[in-house]
Amino acid sequence: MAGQLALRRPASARHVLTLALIASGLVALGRLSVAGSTPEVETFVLIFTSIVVEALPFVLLGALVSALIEVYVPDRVFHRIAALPVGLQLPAAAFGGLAFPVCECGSVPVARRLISRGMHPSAGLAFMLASPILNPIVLASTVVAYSGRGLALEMTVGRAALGLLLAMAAGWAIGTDQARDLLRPRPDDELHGHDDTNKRVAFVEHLAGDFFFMGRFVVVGSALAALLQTAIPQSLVGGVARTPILGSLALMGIAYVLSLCSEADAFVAVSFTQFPLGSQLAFLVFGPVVDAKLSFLYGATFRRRFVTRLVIVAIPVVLAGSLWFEALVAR
Amino acid sequence: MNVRRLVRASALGLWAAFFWWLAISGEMTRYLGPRTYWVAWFGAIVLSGAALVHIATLRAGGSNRPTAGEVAGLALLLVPVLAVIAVPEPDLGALAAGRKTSGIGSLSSSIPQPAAKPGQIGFSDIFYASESSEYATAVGIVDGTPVDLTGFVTHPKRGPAGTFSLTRFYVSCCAADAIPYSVAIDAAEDHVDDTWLRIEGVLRERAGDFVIEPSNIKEVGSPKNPYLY
Repeated sequence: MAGQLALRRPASARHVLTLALIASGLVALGRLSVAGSTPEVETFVLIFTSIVVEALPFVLLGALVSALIEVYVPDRVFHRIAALPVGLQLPAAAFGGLAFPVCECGSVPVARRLISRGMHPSAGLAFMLASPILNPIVLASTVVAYSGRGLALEMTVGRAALGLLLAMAAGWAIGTDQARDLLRPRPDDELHGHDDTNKRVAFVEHLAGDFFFMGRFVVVGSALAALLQTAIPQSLVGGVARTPILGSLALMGIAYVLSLCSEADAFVAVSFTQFPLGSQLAFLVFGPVVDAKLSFLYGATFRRRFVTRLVIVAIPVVLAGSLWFEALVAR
Repeated sequence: MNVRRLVRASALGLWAAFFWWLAISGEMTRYLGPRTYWVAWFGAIVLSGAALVHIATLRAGGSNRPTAGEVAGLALLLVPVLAVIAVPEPDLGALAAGRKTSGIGSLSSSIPQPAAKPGQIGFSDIFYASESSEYATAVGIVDGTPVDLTGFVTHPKRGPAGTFSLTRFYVSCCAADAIPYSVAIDAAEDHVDDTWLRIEGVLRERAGDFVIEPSNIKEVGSPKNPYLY
């Protein structure tokens, strides 16, 4: 409690100076010590930075759309959406992912904004979980990655169908009736009612607010993903490769650790040639929905136990779907 | 002056400057694949715009000060920039190659279509040619095919005894999705991990796998862009 209160107090010049000194000290230590040139440190820094550098612009794109929704879409639009039955909102929102070409980091701020403005939480979640799998860039990358193996149609349709099913199942199972029961409150939630003169400033304020809020969790999640990639050899799971159930579970675990962008993961999945196709599909559907980087982002956006509930829904749905796919297509 | 907006403008400006540096210096090739180079330009332009709007409105909103928590959050967001300053020009090498898989023990139906053009035998072509005779025929790889490859030295646990391997990473979107492809080198002399070599020689088929019998091994510096696509 005392720590939380301290964080809410206005920062003094001493706080800023202390942080600057710590940062300078760490940078100097890295430049001067041999630790900066060890393979472990180089691998960690390169993977960590590359995930952040790739993910943050997508967060920015999501924040941009989120700010547009907040500032420029009138309340009456959301009142009309909120009046629709959930049974209609949920599938419509999930299919809406087809029109939103960003990966998972961008869909979180947009879904949060949609829910806070009045969309039913189940529908907002369905949109958030579907768009990183269903969007046209991701589907196109899946086609390209698997076309070399003559499996582009099967893998792309399988990925889209299972992704859609998972998004709707998770939205239905986890979504609450009230936004406040699902979303963590944030200070900028109260910034409503922009007149025409300050709309541009409000737009940039919301854009920066979302970028700063989501960005720091992307940094922490990316650090965890890089640490796991640096420390754990992927060959550890190679022994279970040919068993469909264990293979799917193993590739879901790898998807969690790698935290790849959904626009790139098909190129990695296609390289797991020792695993059955159903397991590769599990990797392609589970990764964009639950990974190390997203866990932190979800934790900051949604209330307690959201990640646990999502994992409880996602694992059986993806596992069952991947086994069906294996039985139907791969034989 | 609105101090909160000034602090936010500084953080936005630093990230914008970082993206500009990545894009203009070409360092983005170290972190990103060609499919995502645009994100560096996008980040640079949008964050620069947001920083400028914050600077232009510094006098609005009174003398609003950021909380200690907000300053700590902004500092956390700057950690990747500091990491790159502390460890400049990091590379993926033998350690990362050992941590990642490259499709060992594949099924015959999993072999991709040949990507190589005649006369351009790459690391992935040799890897897949070892897995599939159809692939080897399609790209023209036979016992005695000449090759000229540049890569770094690794020592995979599953490599043939008495050899080291030459390895390159293939990247799609960013270094996190890099996939290593290695080819065994049947040479009398060994080399230290992560040494960059240019090797000319011919491919020899040994127990179903293709290895390189080198005629010339030359130590070279690491290339500006260490990845293949």
